Amino acid sequence: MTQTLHWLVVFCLSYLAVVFVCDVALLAVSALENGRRVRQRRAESLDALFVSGEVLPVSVIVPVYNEEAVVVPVVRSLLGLDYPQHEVILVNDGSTDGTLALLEREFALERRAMFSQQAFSRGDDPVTYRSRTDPRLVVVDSPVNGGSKAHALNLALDFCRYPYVCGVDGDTIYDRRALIKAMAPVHRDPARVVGVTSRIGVSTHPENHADGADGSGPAADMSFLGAFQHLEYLRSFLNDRLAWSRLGFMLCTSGAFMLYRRDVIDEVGGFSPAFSCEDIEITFRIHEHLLRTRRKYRIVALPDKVATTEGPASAQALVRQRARWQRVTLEVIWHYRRMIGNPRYKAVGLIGAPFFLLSEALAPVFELAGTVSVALAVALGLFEWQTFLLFLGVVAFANAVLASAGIWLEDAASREYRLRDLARLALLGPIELLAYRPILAWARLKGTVGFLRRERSWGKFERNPRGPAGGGGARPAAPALGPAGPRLVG
Amino acid sequence: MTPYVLAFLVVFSAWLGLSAWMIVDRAAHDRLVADLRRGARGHRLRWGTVAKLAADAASDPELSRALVRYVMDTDERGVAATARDPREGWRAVEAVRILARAGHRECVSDLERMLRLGDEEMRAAAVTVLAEIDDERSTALLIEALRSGRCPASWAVPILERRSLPARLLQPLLDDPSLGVRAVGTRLLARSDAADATVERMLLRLCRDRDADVRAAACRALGERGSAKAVRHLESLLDDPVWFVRIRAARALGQLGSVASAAGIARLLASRTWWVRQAAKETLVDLGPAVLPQLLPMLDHADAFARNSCAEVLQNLGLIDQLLVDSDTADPATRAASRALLDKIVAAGGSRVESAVGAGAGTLAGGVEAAGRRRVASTFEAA
Repeated sequence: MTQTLHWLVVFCLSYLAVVFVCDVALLAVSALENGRRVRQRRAESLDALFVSGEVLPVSVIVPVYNEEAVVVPVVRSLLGLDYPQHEVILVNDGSTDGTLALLEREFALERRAMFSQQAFSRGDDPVTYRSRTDPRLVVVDSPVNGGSKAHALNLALDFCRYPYVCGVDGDTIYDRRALIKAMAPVHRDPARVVGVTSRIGVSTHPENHADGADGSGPAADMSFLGAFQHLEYLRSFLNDRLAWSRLGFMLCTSGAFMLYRRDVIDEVGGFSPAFSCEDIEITFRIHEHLLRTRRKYRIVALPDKVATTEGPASAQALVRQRARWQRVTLEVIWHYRRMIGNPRYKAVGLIGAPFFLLSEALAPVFELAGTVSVALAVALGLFEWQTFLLFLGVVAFANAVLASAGIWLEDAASREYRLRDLARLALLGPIELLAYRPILAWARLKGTVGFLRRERSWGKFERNPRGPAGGGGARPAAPALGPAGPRLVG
Repeated sequence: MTPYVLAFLVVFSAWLGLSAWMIVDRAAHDRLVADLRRGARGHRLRWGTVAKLAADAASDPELSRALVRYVMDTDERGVAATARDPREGWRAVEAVRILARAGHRECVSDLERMLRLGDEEMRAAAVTVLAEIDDERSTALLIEALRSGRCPASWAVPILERRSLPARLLQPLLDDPSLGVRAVGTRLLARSDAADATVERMLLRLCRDRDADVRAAACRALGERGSAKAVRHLESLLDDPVWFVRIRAARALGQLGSVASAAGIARLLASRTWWVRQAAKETLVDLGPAVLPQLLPMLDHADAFARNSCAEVLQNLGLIDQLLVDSDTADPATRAASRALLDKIVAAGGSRVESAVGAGAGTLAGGVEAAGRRRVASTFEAA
């Protein structure tokens, strides 16, 4: 028994060490990539290009479900994007709140019959509206909830008129230059760049961090959960995804901002409603399809912040959201298991998918085994208390090094933080292990159980408390909104 | 010292060092920027700061201009040397950008060298610097980069299409063996500084090219530079075997305001390709209500796509709204005719148009609203 426990502890520690070494290696690659992108951004004048009507036009598609709290500022931010040619197709996927009424009022919608392509939404009979004040806005109202975000995205695809499609979220406020930043790599290499994603900020009230918000405020949400989520997003986008992109295995284009060439989406058959979430799955499917058919392509991740999404303001909501993320990770890894270690799929199969399996899919197993075995080892005297505390300290500060590196990568590029916020974020790094990671570990465990039980619910978290819906900008706190439905867009 | 203590000390020191350095670096940066804004000089500037503030298009324009002047006053030769040195990589691009912003005479030569670099992203950055220099030499360099494949069309055309282009510079593009290059050259003919008649003659010849991309590009350019003479050629391309040529021909006719071509464009409403139908719908709406006489027969077309699309165009032209108002007038003849046409449109457009008509009646202003609802209800009953 003691021997088994000893080996279990050693095994879990080895896992931690391997993941940490991988993270440090990825950080090194990310730092190189970030440096290159920052210098490129400084040296280039995108304004000289993106004023022409000759740019590649983009259809922005945004599915919404019960988003009356934020939908107006979100749509305003999308219509306000600095881009010479874009349209916004919003799908109201059976909302039961006042989402549609608000849109009708704020954007002077008028009902207009539109005959869509019906490539992905055959059988649907939505009601369509066009804005009288801004004809670039089309609202597609599906009276019945389709049951998945993928269904709503597919419906939107059928109304798109342009050769590039940018899927965005209905709870995310977009920066004015988001499309210019994302379309720059496409214009540089339209033959090979088939997909682009970029960094998303997170806040419990994203409208406070939008372009139009008062610039004297903090660049990041400094509430307890907000700041930890900010650190986590920084690590995910800047420490990891930049490296994935550089190494040729960009495995997840975030659902909050995923830009794809339309013909590629058509080729793979649109978004799949068979998974709990569509973003990781479509990324894997595109890799799988293009590598199997031996095509040259790139899916690019950029370091620039293009949007701020709404993050949960309570631990309960956070657990629900992250459990879903874990579930979809497992669904996708399981579905595309044939890619793991398969040389046919190049870097995606040989590095990306195995790393994803190790660091994301299997993490809850090791987290649970590690916690139980170390606790038992301490209780049985195999591990001294002092050693245990030192070990915790090593993990906490190793984690903090990665967090500080993420903050540094961002601040060196943007210089947007206030000095005191930089210091505060750096100090939060070491306590993340005990204050925030246990919540994520619990969520991942729940997600894993959900996967094993074949759950498919969306697990949308309720919108954070705000004042009356309707306008943009910051609003005073108010009682929470009524319960949101269990499914769809989050 | 146990391995755990050692490991702890290592990671703790790494965290402390990184965090402290990050904060000190930021504080120093903030102080420097504040000093520069106050006009203080004498700072020893790091290249990163120079590049960030002087070269960066996104930085404060006033500060950027001041810093460009400062850098050129204090170290013009250094910046010029950096711009010339291909081993400097991105620093060279940043330096040439500073030179360009200062109007330095050598910067175009430096950019020409950069367009021969092996790194495609650096070449692309050099192109954007050229975009800010609007003279013939920079235009020639851009066109040559396009022709030689050192810059993709999607990157160069948005810049070139905003300039007047000397015809002799475009000729090599038109003579190029690569179909892609010829298509881009054809597209850019719309910006040629040659006489309209000459350009049109060339484009009409290119409309008959064997390559579909070239034909489509010729249609596009004719939409901007064509005359009434081009209409007949464009109309013939509405029957082109390649769908995107048909789209370009329709859109060009729309740009030329050729109402007389509406019947031909309306025929595209029966296309099997949704993109063609969509382009035809948008073009007909752009041409305006004058197309109605040629469009209305499509309501009786055998093809359901054509009927649906026709109803959608009529709605977007405002005919349905007009008929709703007319069908409520006192004149019985007008009322009957309006109702009959409304019925026909609803029958052609099916349930989607029917519900949109119902909603349109609902939103008619004031006292008309209730009458509108009754009227539409009776219209539907009759239908």
